[in-house]
Amino acid sequence: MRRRLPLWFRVAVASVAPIGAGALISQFAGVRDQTNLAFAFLLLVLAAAVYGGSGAGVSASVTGFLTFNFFFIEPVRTLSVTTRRDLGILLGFLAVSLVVSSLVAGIESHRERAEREAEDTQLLFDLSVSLSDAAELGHEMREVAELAEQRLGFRAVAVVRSGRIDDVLHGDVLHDGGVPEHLLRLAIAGGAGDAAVAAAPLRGGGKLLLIGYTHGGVDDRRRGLLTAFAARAAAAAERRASQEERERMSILQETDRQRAALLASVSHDLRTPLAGIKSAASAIATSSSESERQLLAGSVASEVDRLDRMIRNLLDLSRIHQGVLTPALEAVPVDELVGTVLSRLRPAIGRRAMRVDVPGDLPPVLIDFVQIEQALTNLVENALQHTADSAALDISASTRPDWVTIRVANDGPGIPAEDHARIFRSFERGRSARPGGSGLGLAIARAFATASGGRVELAEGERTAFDLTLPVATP
Amino acid sequence: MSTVAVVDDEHAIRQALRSALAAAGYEAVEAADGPAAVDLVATTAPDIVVLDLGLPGYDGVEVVRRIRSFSDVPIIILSVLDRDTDKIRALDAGADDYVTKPFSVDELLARVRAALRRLESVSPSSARVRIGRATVDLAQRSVEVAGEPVRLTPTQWELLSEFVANPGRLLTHKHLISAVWGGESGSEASSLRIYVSNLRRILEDVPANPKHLLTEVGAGYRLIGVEPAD
Repeated sequence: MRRRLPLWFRVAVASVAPIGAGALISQFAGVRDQTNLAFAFLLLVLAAAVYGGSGAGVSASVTGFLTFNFFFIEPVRTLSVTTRRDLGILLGFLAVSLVVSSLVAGIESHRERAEREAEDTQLLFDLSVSLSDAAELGHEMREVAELAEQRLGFRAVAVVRSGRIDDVLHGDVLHDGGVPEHLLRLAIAGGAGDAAVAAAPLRGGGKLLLIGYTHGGVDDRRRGLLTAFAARAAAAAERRASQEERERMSILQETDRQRAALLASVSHDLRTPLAGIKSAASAIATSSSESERQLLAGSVASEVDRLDRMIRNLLDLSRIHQGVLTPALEAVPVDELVGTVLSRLRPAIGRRAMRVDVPGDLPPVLIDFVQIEQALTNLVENALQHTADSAALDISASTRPDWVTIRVANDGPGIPAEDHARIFRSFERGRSARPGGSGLGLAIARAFATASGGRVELAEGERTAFDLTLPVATP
Repeated sequence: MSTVAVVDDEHAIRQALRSALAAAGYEAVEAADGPAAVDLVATTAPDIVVLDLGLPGYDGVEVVRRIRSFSDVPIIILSVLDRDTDKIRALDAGADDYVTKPFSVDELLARVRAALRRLESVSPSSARVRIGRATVDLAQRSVEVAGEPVRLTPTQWELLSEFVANPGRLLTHKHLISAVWGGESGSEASSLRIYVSNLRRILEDVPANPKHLLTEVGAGYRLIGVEPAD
């Protein structure tokens, strides 16, 4: 913003300048051509109007008129006029200079207004840009406040959301910017004090206040800009609120979707083994062949195991969803962890080839033993389920600084790349998965690993392999 | 013929166990709630008790406590997965072993046989026993692995001899901590894990795939496959 000198100063300079000029020129005896002199004085008036505005132009016109008369119209050094011609020149000069100065000043003030408007537009544009760049509400409000400080010349600017809760006036300071607290409280109560306060209504009720702290007065233009800032800030706050609302809704919808998927999946998945058990049981009752009865009884047992596994997974899942995963961390030797899982799964592993490579000198890991034991159990069960009964399984462990990785690998068919993200989601299963799983094991393994500060990932490579990476216990 | 007391409020379970036990040559007596279970054990003096934890009347843990006030009969608990804390309370109250529901009858019969066998061989061991590749001499307090002597720390030795004295038996964390450290503090639980892991590296061919010193998740440890060395 171009700053101008005060009006009184401009008028004073414009009034004195023609007198000085006249006194100076009168020292040179040869210069007496009144037409040229009149042009010289007109130039002075023009300059005063351009640089000083219309007030300066008018005062330069008047003192120019008097000075011209005093120094250059016979009788000189008096303000009297003797001839009609001289009077004509003088009045003509006055009229022309008044018209010129008002015209010029009009053009000048128009240009200045246009410049100011362009500046204001630029300022509000800058504000919009910084608002759209900000990552969260607090940042946005800080941007507004800082821009108002720098460009509107406030010492400090605060942003406050005020409104009535149960009929009591509350203020939520979004950004204090260093504005004294008593001014914030005053503004929330509806006062202003030493500050300029601009308010913009919020759709949800209440107001957004921009409090500009300054010394001395605030002109209408700054006040207007502060109000425009407040309106933008209010719009940004509302946009943010509705975005948060949308996010909350989408989380709720996702929860609903999961619940619906849970119900659908549970009723279907639980019913499948039940149907198998029911038909096997009735077949046992009627079958006359002993070997057939053995076979049927075996299938009842394995269907029950499947049901049991699903229920265990559902229990784990409900614990995860309730958010009661607080891990009880302790230092656990890696071979203890792997050994426990393998001895628990011995019946399921049966006669399968197991290659176990867990070096004895691995550092212990800091984990919740029960949860991580379950996570690793799920990974091994997953490998058992998705490969033929003859396929070998490899469990190996390795370390790098601060981490131990346990890899469960098999010669299974591999998991197509497009399934990589899905397989870790609840109730989602790889498209090539064999029937019988609930689509929960990997999701649970990942949730448990994460709770202990570790992770479960699909390993890169030819074979199907999952990596369980756990933090090392520092002694 | 040994008598097995079956305590469960589920009719189907009692029925299945009755026929399986009969087929295996045991006589079954039954009770369906807590007070009846205590009466049954007091009046029939069975050789072993198979006890469900979730019972009407008072629960299985209380039944264990009351039976232990007058009898040392082996007790095998039937527990469900989401009642892990009850299982540990029952074991600490004096139960000998547990089987998680749903279980196969074969699994339960194996536990019954093992408990009865432990009852018969009261003197736990000859002086020398073999556990996999290791030979333990209790009198000499020495361990050899593949013919080579291995040095144990005093705590490792305390732990190993507690396992060897109770072959095949589930030993809870609390039991082992009080046997080895003599206290009841909880901070030893983590050290216990480390000590067991160290023993496993001595006894097992592949410590990460143990055949003898097994972890029972959330309950304790069990040493199996202990044989006389001579």
